[in-house]
Amino acid sequence: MKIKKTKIIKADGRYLVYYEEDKSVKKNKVPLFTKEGNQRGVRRRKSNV
Amino acid sequence: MSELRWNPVLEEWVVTATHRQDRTFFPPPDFCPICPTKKGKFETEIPSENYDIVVFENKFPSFNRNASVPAILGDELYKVKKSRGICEVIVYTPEHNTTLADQSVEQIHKLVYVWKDRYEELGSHKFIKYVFIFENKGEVIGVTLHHPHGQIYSFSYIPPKIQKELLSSQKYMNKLKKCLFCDILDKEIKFKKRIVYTNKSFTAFIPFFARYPYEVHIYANRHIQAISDFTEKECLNLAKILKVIMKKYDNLFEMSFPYIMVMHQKPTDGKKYNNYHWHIEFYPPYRTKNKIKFLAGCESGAGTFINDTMAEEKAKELRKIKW
Repeated sequence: MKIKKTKIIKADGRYLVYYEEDKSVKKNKVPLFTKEGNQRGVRRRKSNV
Repeated sequence: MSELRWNPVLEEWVVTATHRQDRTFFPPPDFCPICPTKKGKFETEIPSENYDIVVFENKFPSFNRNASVPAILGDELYKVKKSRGICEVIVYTPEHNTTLADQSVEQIHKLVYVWKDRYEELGSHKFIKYVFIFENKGEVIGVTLHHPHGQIYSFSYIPPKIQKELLSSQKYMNKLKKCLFCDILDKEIKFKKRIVYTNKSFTAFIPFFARYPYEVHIYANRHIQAISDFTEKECLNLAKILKVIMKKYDNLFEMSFPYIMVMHQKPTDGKKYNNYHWHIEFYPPYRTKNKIKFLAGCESGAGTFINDTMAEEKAKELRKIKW
């Protein structure tokens, strides 16, 4: 997870930091289909083999 | 007025912070100072209309970056010092009526990153020797704002409880060439009966020497000294185990369970502390659904805790609770 932080200084001189997930950083995507064309996590039915 | 006053009898500092008497005390829900600022409504501590997690300097700090000169003169017996340090508030979510236990693992995971970042940033200041991350939850603990939040006190000295743990673990290391906390962890894992929950990176248990009936400690399985040493996986696994423990607490008596949660890790004074071991401790005040464990005569006056329960039985009880 990548977190983005933005710091501001308030009128009374105290700081404040906003933290949020940096969604511009792409997560490692797990391919939905394998090389064989089977959908991940879905068992092949015997009739399709 | 704020200053450190030395107690020569117990050899520890006491912080006087008289301005804290004026801090916000149970504001009505519409005037929560740590909710987002809504259009046309009063300006809270947080100017944005929405946020994820926010950290800001406490308006009523016990320690101050620009601490003023003590109001009283000290001498050899009664030493006084500026109460220098930084006090921060961490707001876990913009939602008012919720708790940390009710946050998603993803949100708690973000919080772990924030803790890590604050530890590193605050610890990088030369005058900060110890970064203390904690949460007080529940009115019985003394919480005066219901919005879910935690705090960080950055000390200009190493607080006494940490000093004591550093000393005992150093003595153990000198004598046996091993980490005291790793040995406690090994013993608890082998004994099994005090374990509450484990995952690949952390172990939660009620220690053999628990002072409160439901006092859970979470130790890092790896011998690491600070949150800054955590891997990506450890950050996620800490979020997961915290969620489990806090939900177990809430489900134990079917109430939002009050607690004090503290994080113990190495000081940030630049010295090496290979004898130390990162951990979290929970001190929940309830001993049954309707009874509170008060720190009375023996605890407050003699420094000895009387625990009315057996850690093995309480751990078994917590193990059985769903989350």
